[in-house]
Amino acid sequence: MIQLEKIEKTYTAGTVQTPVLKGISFSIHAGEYVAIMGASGTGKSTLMHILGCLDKPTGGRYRLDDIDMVNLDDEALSHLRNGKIGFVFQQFHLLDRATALRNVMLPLIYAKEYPADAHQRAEKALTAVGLAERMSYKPNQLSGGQQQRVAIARALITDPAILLADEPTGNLDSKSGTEVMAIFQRLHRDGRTIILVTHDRNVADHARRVIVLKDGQVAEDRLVAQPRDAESELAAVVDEEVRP
Amino acid sequence: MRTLRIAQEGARALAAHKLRTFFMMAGTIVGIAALTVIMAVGKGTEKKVMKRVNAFGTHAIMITAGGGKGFSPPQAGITTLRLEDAEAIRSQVQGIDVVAPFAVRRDSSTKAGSNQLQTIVMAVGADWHDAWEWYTTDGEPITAEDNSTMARVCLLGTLSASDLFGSQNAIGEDIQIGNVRFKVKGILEPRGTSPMGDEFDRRIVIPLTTGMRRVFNQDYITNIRVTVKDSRQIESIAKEIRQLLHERHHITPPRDDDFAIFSAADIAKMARGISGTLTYLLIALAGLSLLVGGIVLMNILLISVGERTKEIGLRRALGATQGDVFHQFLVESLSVTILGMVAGSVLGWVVSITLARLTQSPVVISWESFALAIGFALVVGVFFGVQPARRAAKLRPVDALR
Ligand SMILES: Nc1ncnc2c1ncn2[C@@H]1O[C@H](COP(=O)(O)OP(=O)(O)O)[C@@H](O)[C@H]1O
Ligand SMILES: [Mg+2]
Repeated sequence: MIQLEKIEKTYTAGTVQTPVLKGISFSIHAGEYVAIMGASGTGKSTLMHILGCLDKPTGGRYRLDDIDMVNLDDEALSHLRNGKIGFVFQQFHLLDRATALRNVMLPLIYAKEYPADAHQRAEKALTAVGLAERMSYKPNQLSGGQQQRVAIARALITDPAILLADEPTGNLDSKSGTEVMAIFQRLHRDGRTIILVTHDRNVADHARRVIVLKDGQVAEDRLVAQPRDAESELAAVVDEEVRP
Repeated sequence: MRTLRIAQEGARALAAHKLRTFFMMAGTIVGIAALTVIMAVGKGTEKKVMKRVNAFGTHAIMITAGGGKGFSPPQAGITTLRLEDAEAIRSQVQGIDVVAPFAVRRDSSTKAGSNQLQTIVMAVGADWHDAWEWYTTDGEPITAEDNSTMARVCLLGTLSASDLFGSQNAIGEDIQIGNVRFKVKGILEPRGTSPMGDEFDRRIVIPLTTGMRRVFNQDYITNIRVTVKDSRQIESIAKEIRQLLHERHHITPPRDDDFAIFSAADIAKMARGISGTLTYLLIALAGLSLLVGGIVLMNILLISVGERTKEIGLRRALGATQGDVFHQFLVESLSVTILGMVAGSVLGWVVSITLARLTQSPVVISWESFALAIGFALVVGVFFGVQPARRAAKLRPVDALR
C-alpha cells in the first residue's frame, strides 16, 4: 500500500541546508498498525507530512496505492488527501467557532461527491468515539481528550485508506491518551491502516510494528511481540480510581 | 455544488466574526450611501433644472434691452433695441425657427369696472404664440391682422381674468389699460411660474403695434424671443446673435452691452447653480470612502489570513485545493461588499428622503443608482479581495499547520 524508496528531505533556508531525512525506505501494507518512533527533532513530523501528501520529498520515491505521488500537482494531492488520508494532529486543529458536528463534517465539504447523508455520517462518527452527547458543543466546551476524539471522528468521516496521527497523545493526560490508543486499536481490529508518530515508547508499544528513526535514517524496524492493550490499561486505571 | 459549499464556509466565517465583518463593511456602507444620496440629489436637481428649462423653452433664446448680469427684466430707458434688430436676426442668422419681438411694461395699471390690477402687459406680434408655444384656451389668439390694424384687443392669463372678472366669462368684455380701452378676445393657457419667479398667468397680452403706439408710446421694443430649430446649436446661435447686435449697436468690447442674451442653456446653468460643484465634491467623497473602505477591507482580510493560517492549513490538509481557499476568501470579501452595498443603499435612501423633507428640494430615488451600487460593490469586493485570497491560497499546508 505504501512504498518509500530512499526518501530524502533537505530543508533549505537561504544558503543553509539541513538534511533531515537521508534515505528512508520501508513498505506498509493495508491493515498494518505502525508506530514511527524517534527522539524529538529526528524528522518524524517531516516524514509524516510526506506520507500525508502535505509536502514533497527532495529525493526518492513514494508510492501510495501504486500512485507515484512525487509527480502529482497540488490539486491532485489535495484530492488525494481528501479521499485517502485522515489526519490527527497533536494540537487537534479544530475550528474554534464550529460545533463538534460541523468540525467532523468539514472534510466532506471538499469531497468529490458531497454525501446526502453527511449529517448522519458525522453523527455516527461522533457516536463511535463516545461523543454522542457532545455533538453541538464547541471545542472550548470540550476537554482535550474529547477534542482529540472529535478530530479522530473528523479524520474517519471520509473513510480514508490510512489514518495518520502525529503525536496524538502529546497534549493529553495519560488517561485521555490511553483512550485514544484504545480507539486506534479498535480501528486496527476493524482493518484500518494506521501510522502513529510518537517519541514515546509506551505509546509506540500499542502498535504492531515499530519503525525507529535516528539521524534521518531507519535505525530499527521490528514487530512488537506483545503489543500493549489499551482497553485493559484503561480498566486498570478505572480500578485504581474506584479503589478506596 | 462544491463552489456553493465553499461559499457557505465563507459565509459561516463571516457570521462567526460579526464585529470584524462589520468593520470590513463600514467603508462600503458609507461609500454606497454617499453615492445613493448624490444620485438622488443630482437627479432631483436635474428634474428642477428641466422644469425651469421647460418653462423657459428648451429651444428659446431671449434678448432683453439693457445690459446687466443675470436673467433680469428689461431696463427702463433703453431705447436701442428695435424692430429692425429682430428683422436682421430673422434674415441673417441661420438655424432659426421663430423671431418674436415684443415690448413689456411692468406695473401697468389695468381695470375692468371697479376691479383694478397692476400687472405686466406684453405687446406682441402674431408669431409670439409660436415662439412661446403658448396659445389660447378660449377665444382667439393675437393675429397679424390685429397688428396691421392696430386693433385694441387683448388676451388675459387665467389669473388676470379672475382678478378682473372673478368667475364671470371675460371674453367680449372691455378692460382699460392706462387710458386705452381693449376688448378681451381670448384666455391664455395656464403656464405657471416664470424662471424669474413671477406668475405667467397674471399677464395681459396685446398686439405689438397697438402697444407701441397707443399704450407705451415708444418706437423701441424691450425683448426679442428667438427659437432655434436644433437645441444643440443654441449656444452658437446665441453667440452669433450677440455679434450681430454688437455690429448693429456699434458696440466694441470695452463698452458694455446695451442688451442681454439668455438661452435655455444659460437657464440650465443658473438652475444647477452650486449643486454642480457640490455634486463633484460628493462624488469625490463617495469615491474616496469606497477606496478607503476597500483598502481597510483588504487589510483586515490580509490580517485575517495571517490569523487564520492554521485554519487554512487545516482545510488544505483535509482536501481543500488552492482554488477552494481562494474562492472562500473571495466569497468573504464579496459578501462583505454586497451586504455593505445593501445596507449603504438603505442608509442612502433614508438620508435622501430626510434631506428632501428638510430642504424642500426634489430628490429622486432611482434604480440606476442601485444598479451602480451593485456594480461598485462587485468591483470593490473583487479588486480588494483578490490579493488576500491569493495570499491565503498560496500558503503551504505544512507551514500553515506548524
Ligand atoms: N520548514 C523547516 N525549515 C527548516 N528546518 C525545518 C523545517 N521543518 C522542520 N525542520 C527541522 O527538521 C528537523 C526535524 O523536524 P521534525 O520533522 O518536526 O521533527 P520531529 O517531529 O521528529 O520532532 C528539526 O531539526 C527541525 O528543526
Ligand atoms: Mg513532530
